[in-house]
Amino acid sequence: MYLTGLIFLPLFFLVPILFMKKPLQVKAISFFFSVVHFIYSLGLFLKFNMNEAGFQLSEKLPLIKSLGIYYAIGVDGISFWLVLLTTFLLPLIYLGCWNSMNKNPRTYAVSLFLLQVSMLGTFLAQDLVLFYLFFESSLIPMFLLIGIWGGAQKLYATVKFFLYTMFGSVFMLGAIITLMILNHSVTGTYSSLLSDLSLLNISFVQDSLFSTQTLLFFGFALAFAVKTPLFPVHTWLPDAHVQAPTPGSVVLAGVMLKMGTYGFMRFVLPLFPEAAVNYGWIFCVLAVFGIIYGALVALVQTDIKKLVAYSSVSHMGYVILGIFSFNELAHTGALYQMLNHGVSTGALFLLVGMIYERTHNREISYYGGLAKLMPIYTIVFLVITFSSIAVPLTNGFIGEFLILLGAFEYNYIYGIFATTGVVLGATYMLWMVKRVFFGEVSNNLKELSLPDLNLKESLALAPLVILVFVMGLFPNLFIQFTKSSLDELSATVNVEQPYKVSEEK
Amino acid sequence: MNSPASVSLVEIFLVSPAIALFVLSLLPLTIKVLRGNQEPPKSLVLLTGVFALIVSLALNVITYNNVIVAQNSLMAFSNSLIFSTNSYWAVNLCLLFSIPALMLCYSHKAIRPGQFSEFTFLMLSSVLGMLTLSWANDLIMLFIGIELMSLPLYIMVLMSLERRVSKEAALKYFVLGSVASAFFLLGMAFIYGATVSNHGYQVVTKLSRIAEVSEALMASDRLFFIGSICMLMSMAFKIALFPFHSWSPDVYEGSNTSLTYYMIVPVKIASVFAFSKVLHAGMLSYSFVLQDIFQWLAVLTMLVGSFGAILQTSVKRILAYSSISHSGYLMMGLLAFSIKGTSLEMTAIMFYLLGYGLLTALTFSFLIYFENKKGSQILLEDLNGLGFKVPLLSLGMLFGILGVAGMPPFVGFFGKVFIFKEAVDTGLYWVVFWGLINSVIAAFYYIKIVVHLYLKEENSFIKLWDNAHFSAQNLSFFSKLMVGSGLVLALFMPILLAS
Repeated sequence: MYLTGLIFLPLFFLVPILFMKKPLQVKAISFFFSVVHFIYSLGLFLKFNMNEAGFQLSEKLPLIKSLGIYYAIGVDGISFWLVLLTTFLLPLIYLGCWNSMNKNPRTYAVSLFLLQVSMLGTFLAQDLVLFYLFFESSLIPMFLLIGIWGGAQKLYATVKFFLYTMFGSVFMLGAIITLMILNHSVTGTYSSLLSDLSLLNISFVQDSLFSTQTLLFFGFALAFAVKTPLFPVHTWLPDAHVQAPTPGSVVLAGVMLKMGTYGFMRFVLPLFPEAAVNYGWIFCVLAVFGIIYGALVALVQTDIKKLVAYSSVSHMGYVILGIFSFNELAHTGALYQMLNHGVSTGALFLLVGMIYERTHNREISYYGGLAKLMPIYTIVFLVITFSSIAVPLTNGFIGEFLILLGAFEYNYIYGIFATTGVVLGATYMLWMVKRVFFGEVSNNLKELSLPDLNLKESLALAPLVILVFVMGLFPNLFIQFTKSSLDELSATVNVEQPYKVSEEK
Repeated sequence: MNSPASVSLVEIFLVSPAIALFVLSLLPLTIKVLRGNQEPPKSLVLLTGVFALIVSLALNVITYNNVIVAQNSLMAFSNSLIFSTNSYWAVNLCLLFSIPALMLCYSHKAIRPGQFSEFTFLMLSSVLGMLTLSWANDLIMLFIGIELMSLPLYIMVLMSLERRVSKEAALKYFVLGSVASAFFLLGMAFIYGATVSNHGYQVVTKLSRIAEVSEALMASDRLFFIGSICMLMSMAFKIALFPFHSWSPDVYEGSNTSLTYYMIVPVKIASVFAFSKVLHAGMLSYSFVLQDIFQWLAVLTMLVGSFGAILQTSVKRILAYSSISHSGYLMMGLLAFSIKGTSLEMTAIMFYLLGYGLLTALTFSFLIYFENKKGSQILLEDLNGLGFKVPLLSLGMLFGILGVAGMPPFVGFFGKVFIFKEAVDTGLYWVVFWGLINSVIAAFYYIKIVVHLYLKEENSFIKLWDNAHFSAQNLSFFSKLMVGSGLVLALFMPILLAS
């Protein structure tokens, strides 16, 4: 019952929230509940056994018996940290965006908590239909978040976001239904349980695009690629990020993008190992392309938020590269990078939101010399920037290093090209930092009174800054939880690594 | 086998829902006559109407549990009626959704207040037709059922206070409906002829008998083939399948919104079931050409409905087109049924319709509430900013729209999964593929409604009234309860049905 509680607790929070009238009350109680939820989720540390590879704390109830759809949830090393990341970010969002959440705070709280439910459900579901249910239903609250509180182009952005991601995922629904029927043809019962379906040997024909496994693989991969977002299908992301209000951006970048990469790790690799290995090169190429493309486009942005949005495309490219490098190092790196990205990009969006609230401008050229006016803000921004460009001692370094190591081991060509992204990443971030924070104080800022971070904002950022260093200095604290599950994952995808150099150990 | 002349008590018991419905449908009229042709209070009429439907529903449940459930299916009245689990569910759904339909008609201002008792009588007779066709095991019975369902409908469309449009709609519906009926009769004649000349039988009229001979006849006898086509066309007209759909947007738009609900839910359920009877007789099962054609008709129906809806500005017309699009999904299910012919596919279709009926009730109650206020059709711009003004009804609209679009937590999603699953199981991959694509296209216009409801600033339409109009207190406790329970059901129905 622990995990069910974890998923659906926010629904109970909504009951008192709906009866609150004053904005301040609503925000205070929502913040309080989000903290309660986070503390509740910390119970995972007590209950989770890190040496076990399979699902733990599992629960299973039939939802629709005749179709074999179950309410089956469980947590393992892959989802463990993502769940915690989800519950961890919400209180920080409330603290960090306190003043900007005055319009319709009740609906705000409803959307955010419903989003929590669907995201947690996505990470914990062990049944494919249940997973799809949570995965898709996260669209509605996010649609409302962007659409109600977004910027000038919010309607365009939110409808694009909704249709784009929905287009990606409908084929996954078709694939899931086909899997259920395949299970029926093999075992005689319909089932959409992951544990049942991963036992299926789905027929795979080399070099044929129309073999069952290939088609199903692409059905799933499209959905997750759009969500991630992978290079050619990333175009919804900049729009959605730029138009979304800060809380929306933080949740979108911090957690929702991980639903795509998580889907790859959880479903695509174990269910379609042959197809994944065979067509992995497509994803590696696209990922590398995305890394470089995202960085280059970020370089020329004039809008800070858009720059961060494109940096997401670049960072998520690393994650995909890690996943499709099919070795344990890269998988660990990919998972680590997901968490890093949640922390650092989440923090970046919070920071951009804070400065936007003061100046109502996001153009880089508008700023200059901010370091003199807001020193603490600048320090925090720099720390997060370092984490984002993977400077050693910060968390970003561990993730990217592991991914690149794994990529080199898998195929050095991908490794070489991906490494250029590291340089480019430093370029666009540092250049932006230079223009915004250093140099002469710009005339636009002279007339404004720019208070430095207040207590709430500092409290919101402090945990993130601490986490940047903790994750950078003691990666084993985190990796030990994921190790056994990732071992098993890498064992499922048994690659004859085509370019493997040597096997010395 | 019963001898034709005698009627056993069990048979009476089996048709008791219809008998009860008929007798009780006379109640409003009788009251009116006894009052000296004075229209009784509207609420009393509504009460008797709902009472009739509920009694009939209860009788249906009782007969099913006591008589039918023991056998798989049961024939009665010289085999001209068949009672099975499928027909039980069809009857249940028709009766069930006629209740909100009647309530919506009651609350709609444009239904002539002086004639509500006649109106109720007509609706109940039309429901009687649905019961008849659900039980039919005989082409004649099927025809009688369809006609009994449609004829009162033509008059009901006409009985509106509204503009000329409703007269036009009624006439259009009547003329085209008659043509469809003519095709049905023509097909029937061909099939009778074919069975007589080929088998030297007496005329084969029973659907279950036709099912036995159709495989041989479909291949050998062109007359039978043409007869099947005629019948399929007529049925395609009834459920508004692609080339035969063009009447439906006009008719749906022209008639009262409350009546539109009646037409796109209970009447559609009955028509789909009638279609399944024709298919069960094997009119599609043994001809690959026809199967191919109907596959593509299903796809085209979805696409035509969706693309048609994208261009509309009137909410009601959007929903009318969306109902065409849903006919495509239903046709997918029907195709699966005609190919595999098990009751599983019918269960999927019924579940789909159950969800569709419920969600559509939510959207239409929203629509009718505002139509009554505005006095004319609701356009998309009229919805601007309503979401936060009228929270409960708008939430109903939101759930209804997203549910009909097949978004996950709502019941519409499970309906879609059911239908797609049956279609994939049957091998209709391309239809499913297009169905998936179509659900994205459809999301575009559904989401447009949500955008107007929640994301746009309020406009002059709202400011026409003072705020008092817009407080939820304007809703009676009863309607709040209805909408609230609809919301809950929209979320939890799949779980309830799972047990």
